[in-house]
Amino acid sequence: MRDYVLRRLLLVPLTFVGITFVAFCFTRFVPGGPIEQAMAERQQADRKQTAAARPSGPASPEEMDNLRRRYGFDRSLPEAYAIWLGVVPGPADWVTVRLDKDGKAEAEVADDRIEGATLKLAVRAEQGGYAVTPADAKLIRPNWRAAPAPLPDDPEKAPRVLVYRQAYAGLLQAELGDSTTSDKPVWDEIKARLPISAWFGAWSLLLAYAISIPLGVAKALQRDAWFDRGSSQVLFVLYSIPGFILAVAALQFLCFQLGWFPTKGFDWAALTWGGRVHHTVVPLACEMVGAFTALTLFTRNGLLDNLAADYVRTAKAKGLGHLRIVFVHALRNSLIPLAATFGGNLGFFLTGSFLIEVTFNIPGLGLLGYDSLVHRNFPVFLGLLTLSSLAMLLGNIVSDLCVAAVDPRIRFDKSA
Amino acid sequence: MSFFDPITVQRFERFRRNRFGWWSLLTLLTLSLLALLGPLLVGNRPLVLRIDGQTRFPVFAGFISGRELGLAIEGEPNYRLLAEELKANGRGWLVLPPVPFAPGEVCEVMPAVSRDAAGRWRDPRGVIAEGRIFTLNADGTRRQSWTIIDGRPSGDARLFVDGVGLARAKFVDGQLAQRVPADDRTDWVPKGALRTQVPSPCPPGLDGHWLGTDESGHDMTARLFGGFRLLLLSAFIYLPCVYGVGLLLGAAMGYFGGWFDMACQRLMEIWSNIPFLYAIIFLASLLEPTLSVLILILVAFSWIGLAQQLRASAYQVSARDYVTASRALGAGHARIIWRHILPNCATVILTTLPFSLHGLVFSLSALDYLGFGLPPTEPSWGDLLHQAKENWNAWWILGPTLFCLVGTMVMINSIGEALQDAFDLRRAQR
Repeated sequence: MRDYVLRRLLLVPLTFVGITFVAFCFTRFVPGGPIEQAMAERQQADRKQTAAARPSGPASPEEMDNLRRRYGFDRSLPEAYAIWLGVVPGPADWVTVRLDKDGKAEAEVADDRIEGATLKLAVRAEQGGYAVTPADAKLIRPNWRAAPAPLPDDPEKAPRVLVYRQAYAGLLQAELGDSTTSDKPVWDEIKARLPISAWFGAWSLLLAYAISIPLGVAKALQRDAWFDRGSSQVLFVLYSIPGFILAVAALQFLCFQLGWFPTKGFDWAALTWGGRVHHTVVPLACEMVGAFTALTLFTRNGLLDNLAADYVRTAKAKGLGHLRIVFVHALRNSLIPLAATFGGNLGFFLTGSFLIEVTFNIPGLGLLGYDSLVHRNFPVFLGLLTLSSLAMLLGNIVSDLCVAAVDPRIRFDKSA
Repeated sequence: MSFFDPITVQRFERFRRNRFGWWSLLTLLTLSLLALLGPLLVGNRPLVLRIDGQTRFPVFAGFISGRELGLAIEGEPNYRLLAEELKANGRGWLVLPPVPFAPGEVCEVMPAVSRDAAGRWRDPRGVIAEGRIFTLNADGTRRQSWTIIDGRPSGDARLFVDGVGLARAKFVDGQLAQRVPADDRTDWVPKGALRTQVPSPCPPGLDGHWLGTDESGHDMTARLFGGFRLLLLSAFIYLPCVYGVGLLLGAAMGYFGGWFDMACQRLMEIWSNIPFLYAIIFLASLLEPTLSVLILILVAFSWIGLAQQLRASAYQVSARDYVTASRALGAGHARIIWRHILPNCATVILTTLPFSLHGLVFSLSALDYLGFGLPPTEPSWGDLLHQAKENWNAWWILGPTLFCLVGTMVMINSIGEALQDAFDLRRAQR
């Protein structure tokens, strides 16, 4: 068992690197990325301002270069990915300066040791490179380096130098970069949305299992009675309708026409508990309907399978009570296929409600992901993808462990 | 391997016993056949046009300019208006398709107006509070128009020739008050085939739009029909592609096994863990989203599940004794795959087909709903669903769209259920 878990866990990083690398490649080759957007934004800002206030025209080579550096487009794909992952040190903070005639310059950066303080650095050209020292000789800041940063068609003669702090600042250091739309750290953005997604995820998980298992049992026990047949028809129709279609219908009928439920304005902080529940009912119902129907039918069919099995007949022959047979013997076995899907819920916390969140305008992680795609907000997109793929990979393992927990026949130790 | 062997017959009988599944299949097949008729059923070009003793078939001929038909217009005539004109002047007749609107046509909804007992102008919905009534040329341009306030001509009225304003008049409280130019001799009493215009989306029942129009003025019936045709076309491209790839890789993985299997498994694990919709939205924004591009992207992400299933079934079969036996008899890979692996995969293919189709309808609708799918000129149910969400007053968009989407998906799934029953895949549960 332990060996099996270890082996599975060892494969996680490999697959994880594969997934994030593929996604990282996407972000590099999609047009309309942050650089094009920043340029378009600048041009728009220029148009709004009066001509005297700011010279208009396309972004200067200097600005372009800064943008490219900011988003890592100045490096090759594998290098940029390694820096994003945090296995190769990259320039964590940086500024560019121009050297004066004596080959000296001064740079002002945010201090990496003292929160909120600024740090003055003296840069001077030396043989075969540059030396960077704090202007205040008492301070010791060893990680600051400098490198030539020439521009194509540079109108100025003075050499341009990049002053940067060499550091590991990637995923492994729990740094996901900054959102390109809000300039806030990606982690903060995700953390702000996480409670809402977790709220929905937890409720749908709880309700789906709490309703569907008893319902499935009841259906199996009244097999082919009107209750079973009728609810099967309803469940089959619900199962065939994707949640977002149901969501549009519910939004129209329950929220707009009847006015029973609010249509928008889900603001976690501004709502009371009653308001939160009121906002949650309809989206939650749409979100869990697919999983709920599948779980119910799984339970029903699984239980019927087991009730027809030989061991149940044996138990009956031995004189065990009907309830004991159903709930102790058969039900446990029929939960095995359910356990196999349990781990999927981890990923569902993060991505499952994407279409629903867009429909009901719920500011959860799904909407964040959607917005990040619309605005080509790659750091946020990659951050969310990291989270969801990790959740999925771990969820798969959790599923296997759940199966092992309820099914004593399964042994992972044997050569599989 | 005769097609009508007893097992096949037995399966077919079992399939038919599931009445809902059987009727769903018949319904969908009928609808598909109707969809194949396309412009013969739903379109704005007449099936037959008889004009000045000449017979034409515009639905097959395509574009015919007004000049060619002896009309005073350059472009293609609006045949719905032409029909009324021909009826009035007796130059001929025409037969329009049952739904006389094309899925891609942007219609101006112009119901005929009438006068009530008090002499006020009204359209089918009631007295016109504020709007215009006008007469039309055969190409759909305005001939003469009046501003109506509270059911009576009030304010501006205009006369156009070739789209250029020729004369104007001013009405006050239903009475002609002023002519521009002053020597104008136009008859300013509203008469002839008078119409008014209703903004889109327009409710059902006006101007031949049985189900109303959507927000850009497409006829809803035509739009839904076009959406169904598009789904059908996508299915015809999508299913062969996805099953081709899935079958090839799945069967190869299952049959050959070994390192090839291992490598493919890892790649599939990576590929299947990339969130499906994210990736599709991403790629759809990268490439120009035409139908074929969208379908290729869908194929790229949906072959995995199939390949897994086919791999499993190929794996099972290749471990059977009769495969070993035929290999011992000297059968090659090709013969074993053809005689033993593929027939077994056929069951998997047939029983998963409806669910693949269900997935296709889901993915295409979801993409169009989010606005990452086809360009908005293309008819699609997902786009209509999006419009229904944006225009919550327009129940006539939501209702039929919901009906079509839900109906199609439920029918597809019930065919799938019936097939699974027929192939006895769930015998234990029965």
